[in-house]
Amino acid sequence: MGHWREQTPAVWETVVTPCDCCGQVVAKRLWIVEVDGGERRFCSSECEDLYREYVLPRKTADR
Amino acid sequence: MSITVGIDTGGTFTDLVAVDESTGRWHVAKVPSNPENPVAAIDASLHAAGFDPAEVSFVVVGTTIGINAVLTRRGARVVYLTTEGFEDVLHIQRINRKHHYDFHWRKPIPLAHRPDCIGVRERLDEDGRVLDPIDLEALATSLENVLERGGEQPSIAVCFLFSYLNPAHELAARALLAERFPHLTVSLSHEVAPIWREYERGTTVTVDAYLKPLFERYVDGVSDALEGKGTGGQWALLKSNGGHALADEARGRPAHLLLSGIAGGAIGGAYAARTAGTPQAIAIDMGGTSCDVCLVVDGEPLYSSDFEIEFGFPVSVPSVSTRTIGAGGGSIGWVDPGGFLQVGPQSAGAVPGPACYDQGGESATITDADVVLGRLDPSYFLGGQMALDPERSGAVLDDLGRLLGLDRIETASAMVRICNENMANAIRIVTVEQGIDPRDFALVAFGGAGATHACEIADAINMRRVVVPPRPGLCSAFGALAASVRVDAVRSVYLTDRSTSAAALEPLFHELEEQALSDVAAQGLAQQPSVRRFIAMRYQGQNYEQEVAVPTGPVDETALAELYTGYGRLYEGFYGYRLDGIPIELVRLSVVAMGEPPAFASLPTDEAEGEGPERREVFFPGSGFVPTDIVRRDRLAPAETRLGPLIVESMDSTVVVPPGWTLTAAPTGILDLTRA
Amino acid sequence: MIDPVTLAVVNNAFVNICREMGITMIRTAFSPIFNEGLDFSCVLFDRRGNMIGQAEFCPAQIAASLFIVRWTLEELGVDSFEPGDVVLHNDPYRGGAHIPEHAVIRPVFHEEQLFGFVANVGHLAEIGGKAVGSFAADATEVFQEGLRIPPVKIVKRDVNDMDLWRLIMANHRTPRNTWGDINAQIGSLRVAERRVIELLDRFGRDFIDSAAEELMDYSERWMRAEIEAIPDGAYAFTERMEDDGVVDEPVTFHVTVTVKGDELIVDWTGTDPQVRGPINATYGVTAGATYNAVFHLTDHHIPKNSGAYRPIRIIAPPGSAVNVVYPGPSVGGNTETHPKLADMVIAALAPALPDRVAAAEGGTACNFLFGGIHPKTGDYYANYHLEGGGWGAKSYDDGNDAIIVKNGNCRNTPVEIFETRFPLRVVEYSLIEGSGGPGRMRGGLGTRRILRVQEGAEVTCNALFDRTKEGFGAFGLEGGGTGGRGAILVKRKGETEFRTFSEVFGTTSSSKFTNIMLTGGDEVLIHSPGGGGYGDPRDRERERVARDLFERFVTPEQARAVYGWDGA
Repeated sequence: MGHWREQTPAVWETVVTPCDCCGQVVAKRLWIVEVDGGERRFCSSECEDLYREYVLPRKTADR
Repeated sequence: MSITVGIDTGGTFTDLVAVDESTGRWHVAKVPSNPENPVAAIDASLHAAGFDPAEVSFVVVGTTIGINAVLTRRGARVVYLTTEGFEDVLHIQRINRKHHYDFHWRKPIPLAHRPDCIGVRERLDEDGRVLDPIDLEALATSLENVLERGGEQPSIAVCFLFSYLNPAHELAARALLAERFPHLTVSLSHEVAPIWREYERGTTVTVDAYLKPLFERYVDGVSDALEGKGTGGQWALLKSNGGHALADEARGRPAHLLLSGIAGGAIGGAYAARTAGTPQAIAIDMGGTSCDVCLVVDGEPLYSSDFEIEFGFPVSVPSVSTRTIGAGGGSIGWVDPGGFLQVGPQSAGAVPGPACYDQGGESATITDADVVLGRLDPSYFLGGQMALDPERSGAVLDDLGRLLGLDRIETASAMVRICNENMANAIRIVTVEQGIDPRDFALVAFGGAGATHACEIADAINMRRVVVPPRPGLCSAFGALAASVRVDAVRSVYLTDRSTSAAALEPLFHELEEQALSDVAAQGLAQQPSVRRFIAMRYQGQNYEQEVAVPTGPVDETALAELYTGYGRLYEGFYGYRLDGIPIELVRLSVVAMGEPPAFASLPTDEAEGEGPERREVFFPGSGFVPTDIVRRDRLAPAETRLGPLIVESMDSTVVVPPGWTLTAAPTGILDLTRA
Repeated sequence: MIDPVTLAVVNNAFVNICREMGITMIRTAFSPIFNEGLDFSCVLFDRRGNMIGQAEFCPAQIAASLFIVRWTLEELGVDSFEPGDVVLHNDPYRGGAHIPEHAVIRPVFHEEQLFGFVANVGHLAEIGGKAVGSFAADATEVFQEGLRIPPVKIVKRDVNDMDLWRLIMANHRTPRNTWGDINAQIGSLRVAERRVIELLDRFGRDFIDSAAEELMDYSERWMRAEIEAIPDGAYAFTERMEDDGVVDEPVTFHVTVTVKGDELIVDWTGTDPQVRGPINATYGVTAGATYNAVFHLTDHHIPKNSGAYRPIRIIAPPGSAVNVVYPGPSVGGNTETHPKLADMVIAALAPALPDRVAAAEGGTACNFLFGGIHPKTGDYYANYHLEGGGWGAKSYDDGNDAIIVKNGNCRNTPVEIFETRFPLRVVEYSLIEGSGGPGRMRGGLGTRRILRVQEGAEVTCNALFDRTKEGFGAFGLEGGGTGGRGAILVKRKGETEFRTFSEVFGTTSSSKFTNIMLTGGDEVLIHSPGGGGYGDPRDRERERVARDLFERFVTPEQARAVYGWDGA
């Protein structure tokens, strides 16, 4: 089950992090899920769905 | 010989308004236009007006033949002579596109074919100094080669780089052509549009060349017709700048006649605004297909030089600044692929026309909506000259309504609402471009459909005052009559407040004035014309200039300094910040010489024939159908005040006064409407 | 449910407000790229970060505006905005298309309650960095590209933060223009704010909120219907860019467009990792190019709001050339990469939509930036010069000649204005005959321009071009030919031939370089590329070939050899 994690960057951090699925910027809150053997950080639960339905099957096919 | 005549030859109708200066009596006529033979309609209108042609002293004609010829591509073959290396400027154009996501759109096709664009060995620099002298022999040879190829006899357009700073090469080219090719008409860019931007100057001079032969024929034709009728006096054409010029002189500068058929409305609207005591106004001329919107500031229409025939095809001559929107009585209601109701810009025109014309029209138009909503009396359209069939209106609105899940009344009401909103949006854009708040302005409404929709359009923009001149369907012809001599002499410059001085500007203005006054003198103007000077200025680095009036008298340093500070204030007033310290660029000087505009003792009055019903049910948004008084316009007593809901009918148009509005009939014949 | 008539009225009002914002900017901005180039966009947002209206000034920023505003609101928090605030940022890693583009965002309060935001994004012509004119064509990191500003409040409660302004202007080469342009942007926000308040007064805030929601749903439904009509499947396309400005190696881009029912997944996986030179696309560019393509292929009437974007899912792997991560450079991605990415999505869907697509366009803005001290006035000048190229042919018509790249809608600078402002002479400006990709329908022509530096002037130049190498022209479709190549060449005073900047000045890339000094008598030749053709040229209607020959759009040699013209 995923959960939201609010980012608290240090004052010297000047860059934001991208979503592991679609590449969009995640400005404040990350949607954290254990997927595909590790912690994934998404912009939303919709991206988690896209990751499972679209990205993962392709990765498995490539292996 | 005391009758002066204004004639407006529009697409559907040719209108005539004439006044007998000795008696004050007005004559009017409206006849169908004849696009194949425009002169015939002028003849017919004089005949229909009923006065003795021998009494006519002066005729001013506004005509659409120029703009129509360009739109339908029926002008002359043009050979374009330009600086070597720049023959493709007309084809390359400005590299931007009309819509963002549209593969369909094609750039406008230039008026000159590529093989007819000839490079001439000559070159001036940015100060007008000669870098390469002009090779006239080579020019003659190139032109001979082109002519040898055969084809239609061309009209020559000349546009050399920087000719607006130094006309010598263009003049030399014309002298050569006059000598070696005397049968060819020639247009020079520095005479037609002495402004910078070679593409804009190039298109303008090619339009001039394109239309020269046509106007030669037209002026000859009209002169013959007038002479044939026994009309002794001279006649003039209405120019794009809203002034008139003697036809024999105007024929030599057809690019300045392009908006001849539209300027009349602006002049007429401005006249009505002044007469009504509302010198700040927005004039809307709403006809069958489209609506022309013109801003009137301090009693005069606004002018601009950035008219476009179509996107990417500019004609840069000073013109009455008019925006045309596809919203009129014939605008068609349709449903877009997303299910939204849209109105226009497609129009049913005059043929087949609205469904109720019963000429085969299958589309629901604004006129049909107005009929179904009770605003238009089908038995009194055009004073009863044309019977409308309300059943046809109902049927097509039912059909449209089915696509929307609405009944015919809801559909009609929605169509009117969308059309009014389109108009309101267009007005908003026009006013924001000038930094004006429309709520302080009056809406002057004319054309066949203007008065029917004006109050609801005003409501949409929060305007509280509407002015409807008498005989609103003839306002353009009246405008032709109310025009005066007007000459604009302009010249592009490139100076800054740092680099120039009053002493340097004075001779430049003087030269322009001489030119303007000499043009005015050629018009045979009896009185001394008013002369006004303008400087177009902007902050250095910006690309948009604003015209600022220069006080009368020789330019002096104090006045100039005040102009600059005034500009800063004007700027801050609208945009909210100052740009002090940034140089101000002066990019254009203009002189406007104008004859005194006529001031008539009265206005043409409306005539209404017969008695009509005194009441009927009329639909108003928010109220539904309410019993509404109907009154013929000529039955209103001077200074009479009535409350809405009210319908005022005349042959020309139907004025709709919604609940909450008050109508006052001014002694001048103007109807003054205010919102409570 | 609000009646459709009122919805249409409200939608038109949203668009009109954005248009008025734009007109204000045009009238007051300083950089010609703003007021002639129209390189800006204006948007209206609700307080949840949804775009509810936009005006069409510059397609490049469609996506950028979408993300810039939403992510700024998320990062700063909607509650951190007070009436009269303006937030400024140009961070390419935070949704921007590239660093010269500065976004300004202002909250709109109505009766003390937050309604939403007005924003615009505009390209500033000079922003510091290693090269004059905001295009550091051989930058390897963002620090060289210019001053990067994260979201900061430049105006607080209608009071300028002058410390911030001064810091910014101290780092730009033409600070007066910066002052003028950003103020023009902020001024237009005030105009928009007034209009939004009028609209809320007229209809009521709750009503407008509901109308905005319904409009977004409406657009979403319509877009889904359009996508549903495209045959399901996975459509792929690969394209290469000739080099990145720093490393002389081609860069490969790959897209797979999956149509699944009423959704699109546009997946850029398979694209090369991000490159050293600045042709990387930011997320904003890649999303912008994707939407640009989809809007070309679907109905124009769909109101452009957040709803229209919802059914389009985009996957741009971070760290690849379609989603550059810090501190990778990206200034060239907007004009050079965007058009290619858009054309790739369009070409990928060609088999499914053969009559809606077009072959590739020229695909480079021919960015030529120069500056120096004007010998006549002693004043510093800088200019961003670009060209239009040929556009690709369609199944039903030829492509237009000389049009700006599809991520922009700029106008060219007239020769008379150019020579009045800058110490360079334009020797020639013409169409390049024969440069349109051959086909049953012909690609549009590119242009040729020759510039000569005036005696006594020293001009520092930078260039960011593409499609100059053999094999990298604009591709055709359905057997159509490739468009003519672009070029940026130099001839020093006294020489007789134009050669590449690499040959003459030793630049690593002949199409992307910075800080080359030219002096009096030196000449620069610029060719813009032609568009690709559609269909077999031998199938072209003979009447069209005849006209092409008459107007000299094609050469007689081409007519014979390629179009099979036999002179009849």
